[in-house]
Amino acid sequence: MHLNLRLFYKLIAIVLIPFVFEGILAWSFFNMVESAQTQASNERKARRASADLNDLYQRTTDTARLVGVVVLRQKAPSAADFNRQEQTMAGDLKDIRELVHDDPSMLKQVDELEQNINASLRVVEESLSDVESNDQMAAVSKLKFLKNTAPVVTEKLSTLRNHFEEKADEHFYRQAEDFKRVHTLTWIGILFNALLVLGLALVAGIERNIRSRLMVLVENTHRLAKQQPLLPPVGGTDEIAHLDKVFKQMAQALDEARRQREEIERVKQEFVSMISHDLRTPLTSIQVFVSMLAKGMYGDVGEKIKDKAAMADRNASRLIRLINDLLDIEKMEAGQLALACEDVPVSSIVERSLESVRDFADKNKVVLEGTTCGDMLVRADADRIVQVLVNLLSNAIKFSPQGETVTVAVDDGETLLTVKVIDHGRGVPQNLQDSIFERFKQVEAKDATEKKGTGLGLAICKAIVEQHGGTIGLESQEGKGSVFHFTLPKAHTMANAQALAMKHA
Amino acid sequence: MWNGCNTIFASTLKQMAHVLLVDDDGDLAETLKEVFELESHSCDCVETAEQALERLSKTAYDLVLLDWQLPDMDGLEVCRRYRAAGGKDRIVMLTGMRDAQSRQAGRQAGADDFLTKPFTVDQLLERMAAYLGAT
Repeated sequence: MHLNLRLFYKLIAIVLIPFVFEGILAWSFFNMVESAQTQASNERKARRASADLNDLYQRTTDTARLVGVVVLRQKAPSAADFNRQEQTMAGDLKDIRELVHDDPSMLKQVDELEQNINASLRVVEESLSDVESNDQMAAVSKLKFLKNTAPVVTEKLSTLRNHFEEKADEHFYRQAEDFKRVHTLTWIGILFNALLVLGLALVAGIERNIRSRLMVLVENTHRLAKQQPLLPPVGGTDEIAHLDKVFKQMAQALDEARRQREEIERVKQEFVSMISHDLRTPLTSIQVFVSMLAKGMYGDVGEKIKDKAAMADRNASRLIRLINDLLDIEKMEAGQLALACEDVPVSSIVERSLESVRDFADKNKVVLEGTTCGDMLVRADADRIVQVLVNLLSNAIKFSPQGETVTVAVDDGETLLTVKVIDHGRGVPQNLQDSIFERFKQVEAKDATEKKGTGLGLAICKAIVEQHGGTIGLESQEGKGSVFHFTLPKAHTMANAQALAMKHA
Repeated sequence: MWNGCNTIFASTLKQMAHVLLVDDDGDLAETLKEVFELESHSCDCVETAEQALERLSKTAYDLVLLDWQLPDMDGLEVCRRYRAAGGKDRIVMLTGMRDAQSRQAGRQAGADDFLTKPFTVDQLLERMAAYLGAT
């Protein structure tokens, strides 16, 4: 999850950074072009204003000429001529005003110019009407006023014209600068995009290289799992090459460990086979011979020899029991014991077990008692559970004083049954109660010889019960007896389910 | 003296059987041969699979006691080859294997029965009596 998130961020970065950069580039480009356009339009405006002012200057000159005509020839010009000049001038002024409407200082200058022009025009108009009414003197005296105003108008006009000319030049230069910038920016853009393409090609190349080499590593993990030979090393000196190298070292170590394990397993199998066969063959010769002696097949050898032969026979049997137990527990602890589980009535297991130990109990003068639990079914390998119960019963009988009772009881539970073997023997000391189920743990060292135990019985019981999913344990008070108990899973049958339901209801 | 006479007398009542023992352990072969002879059966002993197959190809036996492990071949293979060649004699495998899988493998190879090593003379004779009674 963490790695995915980081990859996601990386992807975002790869996409976002060029995107933002391109955006900024485009934005500046458009801005500059727009600014250049604005400069161009401003330049155009200023040039037009300058032209208008020129025109206005021409008009004022023309008007002055009219006035000159009046004064020199003492003849009034036509009103139409004057009116045309007046209207043209008003139009020019209007145009100029529009061109500078967003510049208050210029507007003020234009206002002043207009006032001066208007004032002059009024004077000219009045003097013209004086000429019409043949009052030459009044006209001339009024026109003298123009001598004062005319230079002011002219100067204002020229100032304004100069201003616009300068402004136009300024806009022209700015425009040129803007275009220069656009030019530079275009080159930067081209360069950046070229680099971007190059970078992406490089990233794609590296990515493909990384991916193909990672695929080699992935393939190697599959091959390792299938125990196939690994691919040759990936090239390079980077982390992937390092990972590949470390992986190969690990694979080698694993291979080594597997070979060792196989070797150990092989030796163990040989050992088991040796015990199973090679040890049994000489034992067979011994047992057949001593049983022949004991049976009297060699004729009458006397009671003493017969007894000794019978003892040798018993000891050979004990030796083979020990071997069998050892092989059994080896198998169980390696998990190689296959259980043949089926639904069996617990009562049949108890009965079979009691039957097996009845002779032994009679010989030891111990009374056997069994209480079964109806026809309750358990899920178990009957032969193995009988083995467990026989083992527990044999122990109980072995350690019971003559005349005592050994009892088998079954307690019903929700999903498990508990089987108990109760005796009134010497009991198990507190400090041994936990370890009694371990191999070769016996209450007294002499038990191995006196009681003919192998020291493996309870360990086998524990392994069998645990493989059934049950538990084994004991409660004991020294001198008063022991209760060994183990649990078994109940069969998943209708009868059991109904019994459970009844119990809850 | 009485005992020996009894044995001989009892043996004459029993059916005589011809037994082939295949085991590479000389001591065991000697001991078992003695048992069979005391019981008035005749017994041939061979030590290798090769010898066993050769004997079986020439002679018919009432019973073949075949060891599971032989120096040149395992007993199962001997069994398989003998059955493949059409042999019908009763074969009892002598083995230390007690697990169900080994038994299954033995039966598939064509063995009729198993006698788990080690066994007492009573176990051997009971088995013999059962086979001879059945034939």
